[in-house]
Amino acid sequence: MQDRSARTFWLASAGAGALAAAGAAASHYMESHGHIVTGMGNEIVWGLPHVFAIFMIVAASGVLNVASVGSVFGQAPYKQRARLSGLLSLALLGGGLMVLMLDLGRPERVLVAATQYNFRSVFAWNVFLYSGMAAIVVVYLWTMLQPGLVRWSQPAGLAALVWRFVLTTGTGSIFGFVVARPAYQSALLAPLFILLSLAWGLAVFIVAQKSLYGRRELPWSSELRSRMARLLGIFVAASLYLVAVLHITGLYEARRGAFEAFLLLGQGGGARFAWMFWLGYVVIGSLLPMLLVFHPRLGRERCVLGAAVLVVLGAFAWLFAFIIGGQAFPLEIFSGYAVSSSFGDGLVASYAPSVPEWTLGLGGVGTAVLVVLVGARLFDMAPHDPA
Amino acid sequence: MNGRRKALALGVAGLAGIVIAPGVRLIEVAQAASQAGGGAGANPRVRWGMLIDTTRCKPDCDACVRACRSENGLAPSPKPTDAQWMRKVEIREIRTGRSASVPVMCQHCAMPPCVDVCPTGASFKRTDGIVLVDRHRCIGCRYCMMACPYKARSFVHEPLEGQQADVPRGKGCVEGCTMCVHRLDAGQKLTACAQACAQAGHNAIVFGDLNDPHSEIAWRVRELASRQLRQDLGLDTSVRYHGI
Amino acid sequence: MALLVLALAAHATGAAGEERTPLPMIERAAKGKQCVGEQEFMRRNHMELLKHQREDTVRQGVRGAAFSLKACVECHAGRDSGSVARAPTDFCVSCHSYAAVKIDCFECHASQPPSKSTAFHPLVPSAPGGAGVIRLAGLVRQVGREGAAR
Repeated sequence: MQDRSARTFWLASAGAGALAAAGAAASHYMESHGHIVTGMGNEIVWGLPHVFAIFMIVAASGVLNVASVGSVFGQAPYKQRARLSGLLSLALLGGGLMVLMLDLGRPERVLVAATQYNFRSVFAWNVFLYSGMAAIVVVYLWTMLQPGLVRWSQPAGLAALVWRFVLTTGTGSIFGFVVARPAYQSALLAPLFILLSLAWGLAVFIVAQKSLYGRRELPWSSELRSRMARLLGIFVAASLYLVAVLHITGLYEARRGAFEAFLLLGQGGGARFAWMFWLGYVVIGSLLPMLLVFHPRLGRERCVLGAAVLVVLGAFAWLFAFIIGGQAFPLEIFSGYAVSSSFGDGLVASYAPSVPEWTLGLGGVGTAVLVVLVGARLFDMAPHDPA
Repeated sequence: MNGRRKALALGVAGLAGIVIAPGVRLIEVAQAASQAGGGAGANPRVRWGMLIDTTRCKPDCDACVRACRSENGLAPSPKPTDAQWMRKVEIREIRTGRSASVPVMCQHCAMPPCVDVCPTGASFKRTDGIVLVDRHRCIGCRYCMMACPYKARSFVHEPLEGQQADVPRGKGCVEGCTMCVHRLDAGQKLTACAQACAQAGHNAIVFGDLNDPHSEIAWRVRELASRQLRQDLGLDTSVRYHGI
Repeated sequence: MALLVLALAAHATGAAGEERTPLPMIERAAKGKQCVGEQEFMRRNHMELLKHQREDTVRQGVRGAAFSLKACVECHAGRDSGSVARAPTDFCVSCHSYAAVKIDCFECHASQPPSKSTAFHPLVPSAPGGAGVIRLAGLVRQVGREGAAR
């Protein structure tokens, strides 16, 4: 048993490491040749790497919720899972930030980003929020792993809870503060991102726990499983609610009508974003998981892993429609006019992710997986539920 | 003092010397730099602006755009990933069918969203109102491109060569119309586009100091009805348009 | 300690024999009588001077100061290549490759002086009676005078 788990560890780590290395290589290729080797242009400036990065960063914040429910709200089975939650948070944060920083036009200037600040920019605040989050999670993990420090884990958990609310508000506000584009400019995006983080984080936790400890005969009582399944369903439903409010309100604004038709109905060249939104996010990413966890006979706790995987797929679909669809829709500089120019005015921008972008994004995932594998091997991250 | 303490004292003194010595040299450098001279720089009393009279703008003329490209070393026939600092937008009102030709570039807002969102402060507004990108600080995050309502900024997607000496630009940074700042600082009175339009005989672009009540542009914006693009955003742009 | 001595000894013997790295070829500047500063001072401090100057130029709009990069390029461009960074023997590149300090100035900045004085590209015909244009040659003479006075 020990040999097999060791071999699995080394194989999985080699795979994750290779993915991470490929991501680094892709980033170097993009940096030396310029972004012309990607599918991005002057219209779609944030592409697939941003989809991966934002998913990981948002999930990093949300996955810590499992620990918060344990440390802050005192639920014992969640307390057992707090260490794994902290490790996942660090791993996802690392992977997401790696992709974000390597996608910069000048990644060698991260030192400039770390020393020169414009504090009106949410990005500048994020430098502190993300690095502070990493530090707090390290401290939090330390309080849970070091025998004498367990009494500090509650205040550390509380600090982590508050910090990640601020951080996720900041992440949502990256888009919420963009007044120029009808896809974004909304104060609702900050709370929406918090709810999404809770859903995506719990989904990632369930997938990770099952992958790492699923084969062992560890008791995961069906009661706990059904509670987690229900929690996942509640978070997914709440996010869906805010997304619905966002778009229904948008439909009431005549000036946003064209964009809402673009995204929700696929009119004017938005077909693939409409498919992503409705099929990817609403059906596969929200309704189906909710059906799986809430239906009395269909699923409940047995299908919680399936529901979690679907939520993650739905997350990528929503982010694609949100980030890329929001940029593909042309800026309305002359409202009520048909426009054309040499610079793509009036046209829906086309975007096809390139191989370097896929590699970079997956490289970030590989980094996160590697950190989790190594962390779980070095430390005891397994939940030890009382029999 | 015993031997160990002596050695420690010597080590600390040596370390202090190593740490302070470069600073001593830098004082020398700073003194030299302060005597470096140079022009007066941006004048805070000035606000550079443009008035574009679209009634004089011809749809098949792109003298302003070509002048901008050659002045700044941009690609003369840009492909989609090439930078375009200004472009002619042909507009046609859907309800009425009335069409116009509009040169659009960075509007040099007084409350620029691009400056607000830039994490390093690379996107900044000079004291004379010109919004610029400090390419020494730009990390290429493209947040300003997301935030700009006018699609004014471009990203440089590949290594560049043969830049104009007065217009440094390079891969991985974001850029946009500079109102020919290198010319204004050298004492010239007009941007390349305004010059070219005048030379083409259309005189659709008037450039000047909005704060100077005696300038031509100040007089014209008092006489001619003009508006800002996306006036609803309240950005107080320096570029105004008549006829749309 | 012993390792330090060994390393130093190895370096000394290396320097005595043939050079592994070719020494920089410092071509005499084509224009002007003298640099804006003393040679040794410039060698040690040019990066600091440029860093301060660029803040003034970009943020405050101060042009034509003594330590402007454009003025450096104008004087120091190689005779054959016409550039400070094109050929391996060019002024900036030869020292920097010897010192193994990568510079990215010329990813953005022109490494060649402008082919003519600062004026509009021929496509943009200059207006009659336009404001005075800075003559770079004149700037060099002025800088040369300052340098001589130092």
